[in-house]
Amino acid sequence: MTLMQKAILNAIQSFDYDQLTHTLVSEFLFGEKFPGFTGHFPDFPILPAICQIESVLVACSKYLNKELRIKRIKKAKFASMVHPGDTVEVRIEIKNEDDLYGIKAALFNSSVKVSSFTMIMEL
Amino acid sequence: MQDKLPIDASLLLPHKAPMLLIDKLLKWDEGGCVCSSNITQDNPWVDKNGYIADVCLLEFLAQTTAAHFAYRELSSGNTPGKGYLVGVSEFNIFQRANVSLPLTINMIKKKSFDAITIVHGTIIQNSKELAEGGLRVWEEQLSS
Repeated sequence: MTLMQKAILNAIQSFDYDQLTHTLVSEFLFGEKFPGFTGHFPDFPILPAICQIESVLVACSKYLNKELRIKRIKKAKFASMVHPGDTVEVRIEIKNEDDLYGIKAALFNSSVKVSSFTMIMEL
Repeated sequence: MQDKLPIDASLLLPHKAPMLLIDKLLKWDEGGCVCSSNITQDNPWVDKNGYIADVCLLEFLAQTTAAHFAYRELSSGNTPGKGYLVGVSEFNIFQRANVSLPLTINMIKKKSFDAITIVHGTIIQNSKELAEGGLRVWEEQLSS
């Protein structure tokens, strides 16, 4: 695990699996000292797109208690920004086949969709 | 425009450590460019075994695209505008990158419309393709 992944893991505020919708729901608080803001950008800190993707990876790995890796990002869209101090809700649907995990995920900042992803992860 | 190359990526991009992940712009033409990356073990995106987080392969290509835009503007005497990654399409990761050898990032522009540019890229280490795929990047349109 990288230091950035540890920082993302530490940013998790809540973590729950909604049995009704089969959705993993996790809240992250990206505080001002979150290392992803350092250098991105000095005068205008925003959460890097790769930290958003990595948040999905970290949440899935935590839920499954397995160290997953990204195999393919089929599609990703980034529509809005996350600033220091923002709380982000991540909603993830996971479908498993053998050692592959199909992931559909979306990030929300105060109910506004920040980004969405369709990915394949593997063990 | 090739006469000023290679050029440090820090002169082209607003990113600073540890989020500045590319090192130099090596080659440039209107249709694409080549950058290098030399991430070191102390970067927070590197694990204790020297492997770089897979998601960084995507960022290498995004920063290479930003370097392409910035070099074009600076070479024309303009100040580079803002640019953001707005989409990813079929980005495949084949192998992990590590800090032992430099990375080469090749970017080709596929299409541009309005403020959006679609690019395709490959990330190479030790002659092996580690990843390839497409990005969609928004670039601020500055009036001249």
